[in-house]
Amino acid sequence: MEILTNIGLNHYLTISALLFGFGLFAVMTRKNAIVILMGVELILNAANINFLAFSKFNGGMEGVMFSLFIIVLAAAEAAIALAIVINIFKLFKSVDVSAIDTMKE
Amino acid sequence: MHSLIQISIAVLLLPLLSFVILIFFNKRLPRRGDFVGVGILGATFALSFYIFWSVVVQSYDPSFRIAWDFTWIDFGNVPGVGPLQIKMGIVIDNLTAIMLAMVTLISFLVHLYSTGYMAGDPRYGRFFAYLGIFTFSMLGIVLSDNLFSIYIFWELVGLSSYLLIGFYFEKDTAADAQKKAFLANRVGDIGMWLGILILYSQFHTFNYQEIFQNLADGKFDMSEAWLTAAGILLFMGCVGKSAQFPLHVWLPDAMEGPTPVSALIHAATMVAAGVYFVARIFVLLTVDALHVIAFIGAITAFMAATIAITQNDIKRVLAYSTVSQLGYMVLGLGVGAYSAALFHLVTHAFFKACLFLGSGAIIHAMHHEQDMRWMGGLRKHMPWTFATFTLATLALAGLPLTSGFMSKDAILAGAIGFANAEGGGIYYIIPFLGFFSAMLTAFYMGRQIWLVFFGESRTHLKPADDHHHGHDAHGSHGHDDHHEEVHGVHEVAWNMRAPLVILAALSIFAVYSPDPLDGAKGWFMKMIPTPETVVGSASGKAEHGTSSANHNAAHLLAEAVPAVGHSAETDAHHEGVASEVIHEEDSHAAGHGDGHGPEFSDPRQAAIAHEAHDAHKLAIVISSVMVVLGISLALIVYVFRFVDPDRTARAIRPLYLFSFNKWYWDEIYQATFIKGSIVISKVLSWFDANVVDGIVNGAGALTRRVGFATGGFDKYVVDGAVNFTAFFFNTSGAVLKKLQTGKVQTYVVLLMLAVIVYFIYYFTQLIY
Amino acid sequence: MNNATYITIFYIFAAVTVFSAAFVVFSKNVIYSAFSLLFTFFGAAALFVFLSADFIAVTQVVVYVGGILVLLLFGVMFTNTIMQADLKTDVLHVVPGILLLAATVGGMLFTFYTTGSWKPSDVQLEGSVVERIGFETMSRYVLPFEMASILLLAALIGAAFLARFDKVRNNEQ
Repeated sequence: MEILTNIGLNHYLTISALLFGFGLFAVMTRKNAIVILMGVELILNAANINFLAFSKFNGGMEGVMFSLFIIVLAAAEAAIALAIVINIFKLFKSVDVSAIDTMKE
Repeated sequence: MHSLIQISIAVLLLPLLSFVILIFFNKRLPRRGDFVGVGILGATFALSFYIFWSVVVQSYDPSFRIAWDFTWIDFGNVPGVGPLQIKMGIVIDNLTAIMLAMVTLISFLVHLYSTGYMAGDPRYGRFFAYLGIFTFSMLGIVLSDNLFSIYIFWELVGLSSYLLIGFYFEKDTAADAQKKAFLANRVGDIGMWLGILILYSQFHTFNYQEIFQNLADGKFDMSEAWLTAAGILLFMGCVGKSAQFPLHVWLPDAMEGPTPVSALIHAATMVAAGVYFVARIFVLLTVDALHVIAFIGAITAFMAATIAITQNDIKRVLAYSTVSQLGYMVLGLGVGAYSAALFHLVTHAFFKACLFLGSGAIIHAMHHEQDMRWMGGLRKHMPWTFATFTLATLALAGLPLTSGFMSKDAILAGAIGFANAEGGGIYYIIPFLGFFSAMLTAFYMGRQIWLVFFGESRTHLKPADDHHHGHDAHGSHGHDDHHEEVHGVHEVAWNMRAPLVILAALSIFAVYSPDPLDGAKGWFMKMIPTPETVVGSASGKAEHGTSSANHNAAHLLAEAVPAVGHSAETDAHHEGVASEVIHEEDSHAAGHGDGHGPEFSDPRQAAIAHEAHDAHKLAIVISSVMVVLGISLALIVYVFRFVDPDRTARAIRPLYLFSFNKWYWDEIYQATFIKGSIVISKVLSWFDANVVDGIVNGAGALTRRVGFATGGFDKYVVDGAVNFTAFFFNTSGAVLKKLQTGKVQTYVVLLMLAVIVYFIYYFTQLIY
Repeated sequence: MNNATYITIFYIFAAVTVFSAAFVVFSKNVIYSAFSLLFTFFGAAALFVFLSADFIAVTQVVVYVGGILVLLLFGVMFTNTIMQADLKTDVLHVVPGILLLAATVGGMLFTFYTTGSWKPSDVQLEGSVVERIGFETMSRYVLPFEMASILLLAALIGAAFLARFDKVRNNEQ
């Protein structure tokens, strides 16, 4: 029980690994571009948790600062990605990424 | 800065302003902007006249001189040369003041005249612009205080002359004439530049005063021959610009330009710039150089006078007359009659400008007929032109009571004095040629007056197929009206008449001297005394030996030299003072008062001045006789017809043709320089085609062989490798493209697979 | 706050985070996914508080919930016609996806729990780090801070440019 009651680094890492796995799964399997974006946000959140966990247990500020910039980056990324998705929708009348295979040949 | 300097800068820059305004905006201004040119030149003349009045009339001091300069380019301390600065500056003395007033007056009158003469020309505005830049350049020459800036302005007048000669550039003759003028001037200018460089290499300054001072101090390290060479090379600039033998050939052809231009540039001002320049450098000319100058002048005067006798084109007669008179001036400088030569420059400028403008009026009235053979009887139709033209002719011929008489007489007196002082011999050729030319001048001018103004109109005699000859490319007058009878001829309008009257009035003796027989009593020759030479003379050297000659000259200068005026000048320069007024406390003013020349310390100059003074009366007598003889001859031949000119011409046909064809100078140049250049060009062309091209072609052939061998290697080895690479990637690409589904997520799956594979590899490494 | 409460709260939030994240991924309905994501972000923010990063937690709520999530919902509504009842999404690569998920998560967990090199430092972050973030931003991280601002500006302009109403292209379709 000690491992359950003594909240340490591994707990956070586990949560982060699960979030990363779900995010990755969404990116790999879902056809809807919006959901893929949600997956990407999950991955970023997983990274944030990791950074902050290591920062906390290492006593430094690097992880905190990094996660701050990751949030900024995520905001920018979300805005651009949604703009691209909307453009794709205008062009293909769909956000189904499996239908968008013009890169094939 | 002295106020006169400021005014003179305004005088210099105003015509440039006129040029800038007119060249850019003439089409946007009413009347194509001619009022701008005339107005600005009027203002320029007013300012110049103020300078003239202040300097010559009010101060009335032969040694008046103000100078001002500034550093134009400072090269700093140049290795091997020392401190190197190029300065620009202005000098105002009596000569400058007189020249300023003369140039701006004639330029103003020509501007005014051109409003009538050039009316209707398609490039009317541009004509005034060109006149503006010419006036600017000419004033620059007059005001320059150093050889460098005078050279710049010298080339600028050459440029404006070029532009104006070729003003009707549609005509081949005009285009050829402008090229000829430009090239002939180049020959002279090269010499002038070399002369400047000789002096610069010695003294590291371009300033006249500093050069003269250095010469007087004996700082010229090279031999006397180099100084003579420098003088003759500088004189070459004058030979080109003032159309002296043997570069005189361009000036008659320059008459292709519009007539006002002929009056302004090719009679009154620019061609006189050469004489002005020689006068500026007069004191550094050695005796040998002066002899060369004197002979060149005499030959030019004589040759041009003989050619003028047989020419039929009214402007060509005047052109050769100009060459002849310029020869007189150069002769005058050569023999040391400095004041007389400059006096003749000014008087000639006025009466020759009057003659040209008069001939322009005639040409204008005759609808661009220039051939005197088809004129005649114009006296009744153009009384104003007739009166002024005749007055100017008398001045040119040198009849007493005119300005020309005084100045020409002074030159001839100087020539006689020179021949006497040099001890006779071949030096008597110079006064002889001078007097003979005076007679010829009277003869051809009498011929011209009679052919143009007297007798009956001969317009109808003109052969029908000849009617294109002598036409200006003038827009407003069609080709249909040239068969009009003489009653179509009318007097010109006031704006063309007024300049004639003013210029003719300036040809009367009273303007210059109270005594019609002696110009030396007038203000002009008192204000422009002959300066003392700074290089010593032959007799001085003979006495003191070569080594002491420079000391001798320096000693002489230190005693009294009015025009050089070194004492205050150089001190001021050392202290960095930029401008100063020099009034030398000198006793020479007394010497001028009685009409004698200044008392020279140089024995040769003193002797010439003395002899010239003695020869004065003799010169009056001889020249009067010669003039009367010439006019009588003209009367006999053309008026009383005792001798038929045509039959005489046939009787002395070789001589007549020799003169008519201008001594065959054009043909000689054609046969020697031009043909020679062509032959040299052909030889060089052959060399180029056979030797140089042979080498090039050989190299080319060799390169081709090597290239062929390289090509084989390239084709089979290199291309083979390249093609194999392409084949390899093409095949592998065809296989790999099956993986390319175009679905992004497939790529993500593959990517993650790769990550997993790496994980597995990593942990295996970690475990073992 | 005693230890038991602390642990309980931690597990609650951890569970909220993980399960809502799973719901985001496995839900067929996009709208449900989006709202589920809201809880994931809240849970993560709470975890941040546990990690002494209160400022980051607040930022997480403001930026993710207030900005990105709203943006995603807009995206859902733009790209799915409201009248169209079926907001479900299809899946592909399910089998390799599940396998890879298992492999990745398994690999990571295996690593975390077998690696002995995670040694927490003696000094740990305690309490609030807001003041220290302020110092760090204005001193050591001033250049990344400025670059982030430029990045945001570029993203702003770029997004506006990309998503702007293009009349010509609409007419063509």
